[in-house]
Amino acid sequence: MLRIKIKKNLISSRGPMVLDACLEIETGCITVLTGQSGSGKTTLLRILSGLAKPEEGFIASGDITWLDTEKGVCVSPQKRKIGYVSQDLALFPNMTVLGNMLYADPDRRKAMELLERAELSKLAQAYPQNLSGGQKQRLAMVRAISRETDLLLLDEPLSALDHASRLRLQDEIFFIHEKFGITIILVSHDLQEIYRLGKRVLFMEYGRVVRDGSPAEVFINTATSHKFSFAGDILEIKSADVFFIATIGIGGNICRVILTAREANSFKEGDRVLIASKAFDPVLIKI
Amino acid sequence: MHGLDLTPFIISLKLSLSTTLILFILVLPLAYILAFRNFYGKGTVEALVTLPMVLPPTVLGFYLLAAFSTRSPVGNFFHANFSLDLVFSFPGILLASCIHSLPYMVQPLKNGFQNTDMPLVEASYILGKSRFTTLVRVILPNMKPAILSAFIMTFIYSLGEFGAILMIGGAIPGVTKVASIALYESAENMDMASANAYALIFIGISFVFIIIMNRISNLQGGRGVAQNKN
Repeated sequence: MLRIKIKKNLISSRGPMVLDACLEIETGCITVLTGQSGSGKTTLLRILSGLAKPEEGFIASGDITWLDTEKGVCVSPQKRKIGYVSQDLALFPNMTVLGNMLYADPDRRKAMELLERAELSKLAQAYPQNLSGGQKQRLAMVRAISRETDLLLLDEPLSALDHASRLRLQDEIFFIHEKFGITIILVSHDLQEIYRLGKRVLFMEYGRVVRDGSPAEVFINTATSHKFSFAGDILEIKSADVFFIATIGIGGNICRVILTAREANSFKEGDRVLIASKAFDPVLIKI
Repeated sequence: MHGLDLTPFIISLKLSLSTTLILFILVLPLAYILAFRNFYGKGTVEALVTLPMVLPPTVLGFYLLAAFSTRSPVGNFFHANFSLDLVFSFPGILLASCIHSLPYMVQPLKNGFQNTDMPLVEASYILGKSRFTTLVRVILPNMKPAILSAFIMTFIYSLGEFGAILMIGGAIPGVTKVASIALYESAENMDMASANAYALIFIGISFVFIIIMNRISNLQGGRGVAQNKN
């Protein structure tokens, strides 16, 4: 069990805020941190890894206390047995792919096995700057777990990838989780990813966890009768005779929704909206 | 010109190379601290380190001469403990050269440290590596241009140093008479051919060093480009 109780003053785009988290995270699970940019997700990961320090708080992994500001305890990142894949991946440009692995753990056989698994063994002598985005992500991931780790922190590691690469790496995260039984905390904004990987979702707003539960509990608004709901942005509202057509961007897709004149007046371009529908009569087309 | 005496150049090269190596070893921790640490009096330390850059070399030489004299605590310390007279000796001009060239080593190294990609450093810490391992395996290899710049700048400036060296070392042939002083003496003695030869050698050495610096820096910049094309 990972026990976290921290407070840290932050400056967000909306002014000062306090990252105030009181959590218990079960070991051996994948927990997803989500929420708007600037809500404190990355800072929370940095505090867990020991790269940032809160003003006050307590963090313990099982029986081991990593941080206790009252007692002046702060275990260094080196001693926390954590794997951390940051947004910029931080692959060492002066080392080859294999060099990056061996720097983390000098066991050459283990390094080659992991590279094989990540389909990078043929690129062992290449430098990170030669790799594609997906290859870099895979290297960062296997490097993070090559050292014995109890906790793997992933800060939007798949955000820059195309859909196919994303799915592949999600499988990889699952495989790592299953094989090594590592506790994973993943920061993600991608709903599909959250549903696919997350057993528990923590939704953060202005430094606080405001929703905590399974993906369904956190994202499906059961208070209303609709079964499908997607968040999107109004790109355009156009008049078409007696009604209006709103063009809405949802993730990478664009759809059109018919609005009455009254509805059209209540929205404007750029509004963030929720598109909801009943569950009957859906059309599923394999793509 | 009765056969050009190249000994001053040999002394100059020995002096410049020694200055560069000694300063690199001594200044690396200082530049690291100045780049990454905040402490009381940091501004004063930075100003002191930069001072030789703006001070007239003769002013520096004058005070160093006073400090290196056996009547001063510093000169006396070296004399009593190492039987070393700093005035009119090679160790003396080496020390003066180190003090004069200090900012040319500190500034590029400090800038190199400050431009370090911090996520790389943090990744190294997370992978369990100590500060020292991170410095040697991650930070220094990724700031090669800054190190190269510090080496070349220090070497070139100490090679051309005149005022402070003359005041500390005089112009003892084969001991403290460096190339810049030999050039000055030749011109003063109206031996324009020798002066011209010394000056041309200086220009040649400086030119070669600039070319080497540009070549290495281009190679480093180009390596990534070439690799990305593959």
